[in-house]
Amino acid sequence: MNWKAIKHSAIGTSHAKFGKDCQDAAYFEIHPYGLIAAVSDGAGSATHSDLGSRIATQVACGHLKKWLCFKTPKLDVPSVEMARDLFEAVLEEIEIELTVKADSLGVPVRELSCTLIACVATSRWICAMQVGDGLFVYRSEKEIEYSLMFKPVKGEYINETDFVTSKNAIDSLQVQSFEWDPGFICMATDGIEKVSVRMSDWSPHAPFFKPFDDYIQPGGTTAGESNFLEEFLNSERLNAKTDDDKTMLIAAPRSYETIENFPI
Amino acid sequence: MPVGLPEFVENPENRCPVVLVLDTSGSMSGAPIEALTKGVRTFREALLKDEQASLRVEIAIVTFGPVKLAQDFVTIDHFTPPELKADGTTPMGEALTYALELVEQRKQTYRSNGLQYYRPWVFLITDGAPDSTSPWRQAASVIQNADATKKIIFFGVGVEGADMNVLRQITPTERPPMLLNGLDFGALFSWLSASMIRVSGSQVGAAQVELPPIGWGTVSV
Repeated sequence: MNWKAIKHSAIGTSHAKFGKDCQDAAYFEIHPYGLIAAVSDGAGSATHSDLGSRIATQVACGHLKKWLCFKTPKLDVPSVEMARDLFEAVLEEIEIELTVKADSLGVPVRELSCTLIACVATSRWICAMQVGDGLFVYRSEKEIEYSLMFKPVKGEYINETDFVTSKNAIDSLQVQSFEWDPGFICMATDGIEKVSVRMSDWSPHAPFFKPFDDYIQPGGTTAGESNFLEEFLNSERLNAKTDDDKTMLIAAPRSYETIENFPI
Repeated sequence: MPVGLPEFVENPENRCPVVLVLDTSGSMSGAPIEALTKGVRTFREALLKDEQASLRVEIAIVTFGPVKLAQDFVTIDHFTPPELKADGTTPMGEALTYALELVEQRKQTYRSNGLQYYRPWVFLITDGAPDSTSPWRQAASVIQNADATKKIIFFGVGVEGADMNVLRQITPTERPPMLLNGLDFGALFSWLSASMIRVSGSQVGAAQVELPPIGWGTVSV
């Protein structure tokens, strides 16, 4: 099974106003056996969280890719314990890389604080993780409903969350691993939360996600590849609702156009 | 195949609660209470100018003495500043305890209605000393604990004649009480509204919201 994925990050109007960079990052790789994707939101008050989020997403995907390469058999769903071990290892590697970077900049590692949402999705199963807030919404192939993989971590207050650099990152880490027929994935940072999810019960608002779902499915509009997403994230309509950075990564499975045999 | 536009969900705004605990005892009568009343109006007007803040900031006013709920929590766009009358004693401890309970109840209301909220502010303004019978020490320890555990953020402001010694024992150690410059409530409330605007717009990881500089008072040492 192949995958089609598109990502875009747009700077928030408040960040642009104060001359700050976009602190969000997203990264994905399409591997012969599945999709590896990650999205990260740098902490607003951290001076280098734009670097932090970039490092976190790239390190996460690198680690997950290596793991997937060596996993046998590929099509067996990892147990939740195995997935937890995997994602804890991802967090440890990120911590090391962030610390190295922080040292080279002469700043404490908390200046690279960021959240992280990541996954490995194959034709038979998906395993996913989340530290902090942001959204991971998915739809199974034959379903029409959208589901939320994890409840975003908010402290008591709406402007609080956990970060990969937090002391309690491992405790706060949420993990899922289950069999599924993939239909659609959307990973987003919290700038998108309030327009896409009903915050009283965290239920995804289908009319928000459906256009992106339609767009990325085979037969969806292919003119202007990533423009739909990019235009939306920079739209006045969206910026009227949120002045935060906004990132979305959307993906859907594709069957291979030519049949190839991959050793499993 | 044309793709439709993503439809937005209408979520209620996040709430930013602030309680003003105002000394309306006899000593405030005349110029002080007038200036205070005008200050509260300034607060409202400044917040109304910021669209996001006017929908998010909720204000409650507790006056003393006697302890009275002059204004229950209301969003700024529905707030009419009450007429403040100076007349009475200074049951500061009771007023503070009442204000803290008010905040906790409000948080419960938010939670049961699925509303998200920011850390509540409790703002005490007094020109005197608590009545000798007022359990202010008890209130002080509850306040310090609540502030330390981030349940609230507490500010104490003394107007000329206030017992700053007492205030210093009430406010958290890292946020000593301020002494207002004369009766410049206008500047105080402009600062408070500017701070509320920053807090109500603050994003995740902005637990340290940078507040505007304090030009309306001095820190008592």
